Amino acid sequence: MSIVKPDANNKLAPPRKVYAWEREKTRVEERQKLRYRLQRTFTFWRLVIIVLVAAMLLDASVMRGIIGFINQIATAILQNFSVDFTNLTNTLLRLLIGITIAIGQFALIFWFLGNARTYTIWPGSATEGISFDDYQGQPELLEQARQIVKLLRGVRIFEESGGEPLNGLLLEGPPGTGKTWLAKAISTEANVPFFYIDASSLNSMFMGIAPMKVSNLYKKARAAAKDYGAAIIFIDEIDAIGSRAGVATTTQRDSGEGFKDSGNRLPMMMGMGGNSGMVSTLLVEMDGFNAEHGGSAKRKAWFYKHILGRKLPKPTRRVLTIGATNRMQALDPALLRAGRFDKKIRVDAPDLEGRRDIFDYYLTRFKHDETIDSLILASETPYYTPADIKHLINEALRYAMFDERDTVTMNDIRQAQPEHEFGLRQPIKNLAKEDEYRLAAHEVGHALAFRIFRPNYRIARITIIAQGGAHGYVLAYPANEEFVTVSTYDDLMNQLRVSVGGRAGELEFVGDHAQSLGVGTGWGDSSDFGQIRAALWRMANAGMFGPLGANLRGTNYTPEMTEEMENAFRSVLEEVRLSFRLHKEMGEELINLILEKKEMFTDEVEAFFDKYGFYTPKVNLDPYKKIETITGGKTNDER
Amino acid sequence: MTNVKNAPNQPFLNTKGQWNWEDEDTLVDRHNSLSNRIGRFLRSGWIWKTVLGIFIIGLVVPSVMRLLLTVLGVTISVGIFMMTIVLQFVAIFWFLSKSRTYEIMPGTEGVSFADYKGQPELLEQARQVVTLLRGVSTFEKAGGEPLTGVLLEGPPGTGKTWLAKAISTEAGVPFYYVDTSSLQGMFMGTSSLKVINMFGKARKAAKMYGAAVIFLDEIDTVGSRGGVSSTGGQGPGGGNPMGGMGGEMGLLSTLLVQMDGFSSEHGWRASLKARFYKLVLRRKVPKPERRVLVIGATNRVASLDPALLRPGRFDKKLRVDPPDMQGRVDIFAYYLLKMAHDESLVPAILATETPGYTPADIKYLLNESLRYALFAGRAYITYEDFRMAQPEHEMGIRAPIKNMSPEAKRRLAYHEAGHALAVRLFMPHHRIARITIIRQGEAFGHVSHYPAQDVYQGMQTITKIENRMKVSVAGKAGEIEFCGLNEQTVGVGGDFSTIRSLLWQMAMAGMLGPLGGALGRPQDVMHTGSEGTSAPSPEMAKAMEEEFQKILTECRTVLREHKNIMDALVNLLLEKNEILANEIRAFFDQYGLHTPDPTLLNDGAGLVALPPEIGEIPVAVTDSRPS
Repeated sequence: MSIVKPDANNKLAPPRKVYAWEREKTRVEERQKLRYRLQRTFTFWRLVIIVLVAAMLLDASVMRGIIGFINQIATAILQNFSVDFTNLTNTLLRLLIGITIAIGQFALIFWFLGNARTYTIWPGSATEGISFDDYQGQPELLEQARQIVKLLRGVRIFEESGGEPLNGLLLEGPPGTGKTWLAKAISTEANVPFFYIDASSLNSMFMGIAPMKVSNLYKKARAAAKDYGAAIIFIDEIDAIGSRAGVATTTQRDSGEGFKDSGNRLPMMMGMGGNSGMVSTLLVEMDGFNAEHGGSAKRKAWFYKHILGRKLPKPTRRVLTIGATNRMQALDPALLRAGRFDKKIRVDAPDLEGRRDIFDYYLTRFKHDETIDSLILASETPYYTPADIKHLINEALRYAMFDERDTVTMNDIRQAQPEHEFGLRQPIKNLAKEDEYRLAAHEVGHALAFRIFRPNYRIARITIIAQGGAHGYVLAYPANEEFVTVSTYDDLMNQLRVSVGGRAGELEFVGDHAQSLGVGTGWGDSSDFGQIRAALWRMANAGMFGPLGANLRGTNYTPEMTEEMENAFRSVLEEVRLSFRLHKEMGEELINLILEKKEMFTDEVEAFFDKYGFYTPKVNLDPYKKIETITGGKTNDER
Repeated sequence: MTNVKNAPNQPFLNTKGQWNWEDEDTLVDRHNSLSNRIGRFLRSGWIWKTVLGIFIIGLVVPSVMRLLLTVLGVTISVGIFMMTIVLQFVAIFWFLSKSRTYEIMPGTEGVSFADYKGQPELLEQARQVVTLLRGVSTFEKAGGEPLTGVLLEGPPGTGKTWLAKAISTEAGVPFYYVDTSSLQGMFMGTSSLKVINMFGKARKAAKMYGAAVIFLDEIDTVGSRGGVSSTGGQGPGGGNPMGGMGGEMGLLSTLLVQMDGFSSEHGWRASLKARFYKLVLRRKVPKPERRVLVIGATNRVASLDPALLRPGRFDKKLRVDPPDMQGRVDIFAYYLLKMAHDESLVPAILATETPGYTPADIKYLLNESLRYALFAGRAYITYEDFRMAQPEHEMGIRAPIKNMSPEAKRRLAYHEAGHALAVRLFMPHHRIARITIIRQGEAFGHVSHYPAQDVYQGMQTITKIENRMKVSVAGKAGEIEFCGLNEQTVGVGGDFSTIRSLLWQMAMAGMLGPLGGALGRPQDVMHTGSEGTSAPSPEMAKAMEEEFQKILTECRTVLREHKNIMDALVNLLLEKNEILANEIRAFFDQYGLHTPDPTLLNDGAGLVALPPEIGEIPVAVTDSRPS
């Protein structure tokens, strides 16, 4: 018996690969330079103190000077306060100082509390420099923004014709679709002062402060608008303040994670905190008596009436408020009416053509080779937001870097994409041969079903390498963009056939004993059967199995409906099994191919199916043309 | 044209293809005339400009200077008194806006990547992220940007914090560990202030050191929708974001904005910089660097706000799962390096016997084993110690029943022997680690058996599930067959809940007939499907019932046929009370039922190394219902 002593130094780390570029100096290393270190150690104030101390030590006169200065201040204070009380002037002075201090204290507190965190971007200083040219993917949206900006800048003829520039613009849409990005572009293009407010910073500690912050903000913006002609206030995440009762509500979540309590109207703030009144202030500021008032307005009116002899011009309210939110339903309806947020623009994930443009845009910023076809990429990334696309290419570059290249290829993107969607690739190390065969049969079943029943789909990848929670998967994308709400009965049935293809593959190519739990046991999740259940339910609900659908009874579904759904399922399974029996040799060849390669991409899959006469469609974008803008494609003028 | 009223002049397209009004000066342009600019310049900061003017005059006229100095003296003296009062507020705000942050500056020794074992793919990802965070110029020239956020999600104990620690050491940049519960402020608004301060600090550090990392542990406390933890009922009013006076409301949106918003340079400084670049350097202003990586860790990713999860904020989501078998081998090897042990502890065997264990579990288990060893008079761990510690960790402490009647004990022995024999017969790829009839925790006896290979839920075929059910039902079958129908016990709670859930899964995966199992709305499935206790439709319940009877009958038949093995095993068990791996192996080898080798099998070599499957077991169809 040998006893192994503890040995902390014996690390089991394998030697790892060093890439050529890793020897380069990184930024962190650059910051190790003496210059930066000195900067870190000797900050400004430290430097001042050091210099003073050094000077004091070296020269007695400096020492004397400093001591004299301190003395002087001390005497000044003593003079002010060690006073004779009989002296009336001094008493008054003292009183005055006391009052000043008391008021000053409050003034300071309120100044401190009353300032929202605002990021102001003055014209010409937009450091990010995002212009309308950088906004890709949604030409209609861009055109709207362009028009709004143009009119905000004050077009004479528009106003002479009676038009008024927009008062408020609400951008709503799911996260990542580029609301903030659009606002940034607007800020650059409008070239007027731009106030960015984090809505949460408007919340405040005491009652009444929040409305003060809002009115301060508007005051500032109006002053700027007076100077520059117009101003924009951008309130990000406006649902943090504009909710119905002035507080954020917990809305029902999509994931059904037990967020059942959607207390729509929450009680107003109790205790001391206070946003109460913030929404009303916002309402008033956006559309209310914010015109000129008081003595100066009266004088002005008099001046116009009697001296100039004409009507008082309308006060120019040229402050555009842009709000961004992803929970519009949580907003107070009063905010949404015309006159406040006049215009509501929904920013959605871009469509096929939009995605192609976004890919093109980002690819100009990334080193890439000619294997990348942005149109094919766009067809393979349905529902991707611009943020997703950027992240995808960035990740692809990471893959390239750790493969000793600095150019992104199609292959890198294919590596990065499933990682973004599913999670890490973690191959199962000791998968039994028969399990692997069964898995391959399952995936081949899906692939065959795609090719046979959904000929308009392009299979992008068949893999039996485990990734995220999936042991293997088939990715296929429509050659034309498809939209869920316009799916027909045939589409849905074919979707069922593809989903059931995995099980049918197991049954046909391996045998009855090979049915696995890989088809999933849930409802509506990403597993095969989860999808089937959800699709059947959707079809029944849309009245496809009978004249009535399911909503007749609120809490449950009728037995007839269940029976219809089960019948549909049974017939679909039988149909798919039959077709697999007809194409048995094709399936088996594909299984063997997959077992050998583990993963197959578009071209290989296409070549394989071409042999059997099942052709893959080309990505179709017809009519293939850019949308003409009204201004003739002109981006931004007058600079 | 004739009906148009109030129209100044009509828009026409000019020669350039634009509307003719597009060439006109807009209001904004008119505000940019020279006089306006001068006015703007004078208006902005007029106080300072006046003071400066007086000062310049004072340089020439001594009396003005004297006046200025007097005013300055009074202002300073008042200011000092004001300061003392203001200072207390400043102190309060400073105090309130502090979050509990642990700052780790580069150069501190800590956990490194070499200490992270078990999930090589994850480690590789982390390594790549860290390398690129440090600012590789090739990467950035090619257009890449370092990540802004990485979200680590996974069950507790899987090593999320450990991984973050390793990242901090390896990155060699300032690392801010933030306890997210400390972000919740006492007053409205302070929590947002805290977040901003934290990011400000990190950005400053990033400017100094090139990059910085913020680690937000348990981010679900702040990142849930509405700024509350989704536990519900925790906060006053059940998920009411604003209980009483505290205020984490706005915390989330601040976080969102700080991670990806207009948090770049702004104000007059940016304006000055932009002008400098434009006029002096004549090039575009460089993008502000955002080199702060935010790492979040959570075990409830579903409760996070979707806005937090989108690219640009938490770009990357890394799922940290319990390690697989190879991972556990590495983890055991890693910890065993640090602990005194003898050669009976083989990482490969230990790994097979700890399916689903997290690194934290493994560390705890080895530590417990060492405790057992010390109280057995040894200063090193043996396999025996491990075998003692494991069931205690899983089930509770060992509490033998001192005076159990012989019949009850015999019945218990038959129950456990039934399980054991069924494992050997139906699940030949499993190793039996222990058969015991000593009470541990709530179990009066148990059989621990572990697969020699990893098992994945999605890989379970109908054959495997049926075999698992046979093993579970074998306890009952043993009691019925060898002790008699009237001697069935109710000690089958655990066995039967396994069977029920397996039957439920089979039905849902459409294995019990061509039907898809439960169809319908999610609500219906959720109500009836919890733990598979009841079936949603009578047909499905019937199919499940039939399946169960089939399994029970088959199992009884097989046990009856191996009566000699059962009797021998029961006698052995009654004599020893507990049999461990090697003895079990030796016992079954006598009957030609071999145990698979527990060494790790790679690349699907598994099936070859295992003894051949038990062939078709002749099933004598008897009455399915015990009469």
